[in-house]
Amino acid sequence: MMHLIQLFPRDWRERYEAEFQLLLAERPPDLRDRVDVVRGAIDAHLHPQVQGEPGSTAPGPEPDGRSISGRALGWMTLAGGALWLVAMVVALNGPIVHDTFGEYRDGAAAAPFALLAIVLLSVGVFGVVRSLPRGAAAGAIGGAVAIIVGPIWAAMPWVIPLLVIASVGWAVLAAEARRVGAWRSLDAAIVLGGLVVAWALGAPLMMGLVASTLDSYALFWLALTSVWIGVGHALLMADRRPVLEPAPAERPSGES
Amino acid sequence: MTETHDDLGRFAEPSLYILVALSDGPKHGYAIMTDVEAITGTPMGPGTLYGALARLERRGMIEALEPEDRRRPYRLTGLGATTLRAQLEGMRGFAGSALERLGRAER
Repeated sequence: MMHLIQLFPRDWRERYEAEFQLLLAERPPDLRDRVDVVRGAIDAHLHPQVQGEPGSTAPGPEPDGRSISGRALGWMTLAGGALWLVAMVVALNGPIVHDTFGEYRDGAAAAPFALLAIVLLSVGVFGVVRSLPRGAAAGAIGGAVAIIVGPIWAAMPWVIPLLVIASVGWAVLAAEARRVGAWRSLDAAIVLGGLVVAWALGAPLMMGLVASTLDSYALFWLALTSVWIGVGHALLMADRRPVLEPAPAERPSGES
Repeated sequence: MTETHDDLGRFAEPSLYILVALSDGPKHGYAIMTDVEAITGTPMGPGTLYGALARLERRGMIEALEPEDRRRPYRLTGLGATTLRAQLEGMRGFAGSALERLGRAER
C-alpha cells in the first residue's frame, strides 16, 4: 500500500507523507480505500494544494487564489480559439482547384490547425466537466459528447452532422454550467449566443438555401469562435470564486 | 451552495465534515476519520481526507499543530469556525424553511 504514496507529487509527500503513512498503518486500507488513495493522488497532481519551496514543509500560498490547472486549461482553450482563427484564414485563402468535383477552394491546409484547435477546446471542456457539481449530469453528458465528437468532426469536417452534435453538446454544457451556478451568465451567453448566430448563418448555407460565399463561411467560423472564448474565460474565472466563505459581516477582520 | 462546489468540487462535503469533527478540539488524521464516520455513518477514504485537509489548510480554515509521536493534529482556526458557523446556520435556515413548508402542506 505504501507504494501508492509514491503516486503523489513530491511537494505533497514532503508535507503529508509521514502522517499519511501512519494513518494507513492505523487503518489498514480496503480496496475502496486504495481506489480513494489513487483518486487523491490524481487530484493532488491536477489541483496542487502544496506549492512550497523545494524542501519546504509548509503549504505555500497561492497569490491570486486560482488553481494552476484551471488557469492553464483556460489559456490552452483560448490558444485553441486563436488556432481556430488561423485555420479560418488558411482555409479561406486555400488554392482554387479544378477536379472531378468541379471548381472549389481547397482548404485542406487548414485541417491540422482546426484539429488542434478542437482538441484544445475538448481539453478545456474536460476541465469544465470535471468541475461541475453532481447535480449537473446533463451538462457532464453534453460535455462528454462534445469532447468525443468534436475531434472526430475536425478529422472529417465534411460530415456536418458531427459538428451539429458537438454544438449541441457545447450548448448543453454551457446552459447547465450556468444553471448550477458554475459559470457566470456572461460566459454562458457567449457560448450560447455564438452557437445560435453560427447556426443561424451556417444552417441555410450548408443546406444550400443561400449562396455560399467566402464572407458567409467566415462569419460562421467567427461565430463558432465564441465557444473557445466562453469556455476559456469560464475556466480562467472559475477558480476566483469564493468557497465556503463566511458572510462578510461574520468574517473576522484579521483573517483572510 | 454552488459557490462551495465551484471551488472545492467533490471535497466540499468532506471539508464540512472535517470542520465539524474539529469543532470540539484538535484531532489528527485517524481521529478525524473515525469522528466523521461516527457523525455521518459513512467512512471517509484516506485520499479524500487528505485532499480536503490540504484545501482547508491552504485556505486558513484549519492549521497543523506540532506533531505528537509522528501524528500531526489539526485545529480549527478563527476563520474555519466562522465559516463553519455560517454554513451550519445557512443549513438550519434552509431546513427550518423546508420543514415549515412541509408542515403547511400536511395540514
